[in-house]
Amino acid sequence: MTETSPFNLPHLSEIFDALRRGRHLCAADGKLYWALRENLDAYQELFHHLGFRLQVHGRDFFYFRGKDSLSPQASRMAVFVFILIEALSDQGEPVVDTLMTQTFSVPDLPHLKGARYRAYLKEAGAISEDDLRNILRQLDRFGFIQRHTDDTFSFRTPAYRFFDVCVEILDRDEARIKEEQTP
Amino acid sequence: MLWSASPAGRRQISLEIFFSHYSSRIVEEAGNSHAVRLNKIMAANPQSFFRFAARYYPLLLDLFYRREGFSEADLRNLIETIRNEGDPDPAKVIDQLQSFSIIEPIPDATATFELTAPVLNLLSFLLREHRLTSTRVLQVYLTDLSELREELDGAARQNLGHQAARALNDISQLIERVRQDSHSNREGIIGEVIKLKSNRERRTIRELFEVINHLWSRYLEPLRDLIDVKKAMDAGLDDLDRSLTASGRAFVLDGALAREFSRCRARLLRLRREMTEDFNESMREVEPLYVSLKKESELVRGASLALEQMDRSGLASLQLPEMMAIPVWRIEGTFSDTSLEAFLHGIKGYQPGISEPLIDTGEITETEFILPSELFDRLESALPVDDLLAWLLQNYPQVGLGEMVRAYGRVFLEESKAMHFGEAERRYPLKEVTLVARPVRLEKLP
Repeated sequence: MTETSPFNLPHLSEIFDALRRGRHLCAADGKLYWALRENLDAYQELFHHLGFRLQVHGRDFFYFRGKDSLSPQASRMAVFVFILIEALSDQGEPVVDTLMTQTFSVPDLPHLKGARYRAYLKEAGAISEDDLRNILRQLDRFGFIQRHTDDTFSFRTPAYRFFDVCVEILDRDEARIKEEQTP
Repeated sequence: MLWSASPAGRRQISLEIFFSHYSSRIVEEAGNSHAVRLNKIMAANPQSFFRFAARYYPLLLDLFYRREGFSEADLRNLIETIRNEGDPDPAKVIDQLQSFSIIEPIPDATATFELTAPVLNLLSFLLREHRLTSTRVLQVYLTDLSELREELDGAARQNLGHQAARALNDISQLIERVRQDSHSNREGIIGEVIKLKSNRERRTIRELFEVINHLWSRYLEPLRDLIDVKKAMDAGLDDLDRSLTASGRAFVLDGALAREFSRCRARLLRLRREMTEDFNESMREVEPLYVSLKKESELVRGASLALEQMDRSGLASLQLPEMMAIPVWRIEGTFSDTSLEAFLHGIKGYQPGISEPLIDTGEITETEFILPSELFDRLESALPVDDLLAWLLQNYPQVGLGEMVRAYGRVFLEESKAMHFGEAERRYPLKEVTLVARPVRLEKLP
């Protein structure tokens, strides 16, 4: 590949490899993030011609939006985050601030502490702390969290995708109610 | 009369106004007797009131925060905790509290008290614990202002100085009340915002949002409407300003009254400036918190809704994989670089040995497959054949059922021979099964 080639983009193979595996790239990813951000138009065009949809989130991170083969792990990860959001709110914590700044520890998580949360997790196929760790591995793989040790982690900016899902679910429900009320 | 000539007189009048809210409720302190004659109303000495309030300030403070009221027993205990040697006993103090109209019984409860409204207001003011005035109340004030303006205009038309002075006094008082309420609202709202931010009560996001939404929709939105330059309040205050200017001219020769007109206009100007300022300051405090709590509340409601829907209709109903749309990349049928490298490393320099010779067991293996060309040649030479299936069984006894039926089908579909079906069904016993079919006779085509 010559230097003048339009495909001669910095860290192309690493970026493509990460994105196609569903990873979300944010500022914490350092050189990959900056290479993508500084050559965004070129990357978007290239990926578009290859049939990939590169998404730029308002919170300044990047990811591929899949079409056909979608990760079924999304459900388990989302349920994990939904439970955490509800539990933090019930404790009177500022949810977004706490989620995005606090370091969490598996034994302290609320997920297995109450029967209702255990039932949700069971529906998502997780019943033990090991299963929780497995979900954390998935969250880490896709770039939603940063694992510090086996048992501790903190959320990365791409976790905002789960917040978007919450709002989308609420909007969907409100639209449904509105529709039902329309004579 | 607010505009008494001497400063001392003005102070006295101000004090009267200050106590006018509650003077009708003040009861006589009952000398050395414990009995309080509630029906015998007369003004309490303000100096005694404040002296008593200063001595029992910790008690008043405690009672102030007991918004739901307090029993006589609670009151006695509280008095005991601050009682010094030589102080009157709790029963006497309770009588004094009642005689100063600091406390009064709650109507629907026995031996239970609450602070009286004027004392509550005074303490709220002193402690900066502002209570919020709804915009409706402010609107009532503005309507009153409009009526007083008409009264002032009438007095000016008829050149009635005393009537004009009375209307002017009432207008000034109302302006000050609106200004104080507006300021109190600002302080109250900011106080609420600070409480919400610190969230010492560990309220949930939903509860916090309910409080801020209440402030927003009950006080700020209507106030925004009220102070909107294109709306009623502004027009009403413009009218008042015009009246004050025009009527002021009618009494220009009455120096004292003319000064009051001028002062009233200054009050009006200050009210308009400070109300806008109060509103803007309140908005500055509330809006960011309102927006952030609204977002958080939506987030929490969305998460709870998702969990509820999952409980009701199952996880799949949420369609989370589609919403998240995280791609999965699978490469099938190829080696990874590592395994390919390992494989190549393994075969590098490989020297094949001599293959082991095939062993002839001497057994004759019978074919289980009927070659179509061979079948057709043999059949052609055997024509006419009375029963095709019987012929096949006879000529290919070694093949299985499947191959036998396949050969039968091939001949059946082949159109180079004349085919006749027999009338009666015939049974063809094989090793595992018995076939039942009408015999097919084959002949050469003419």
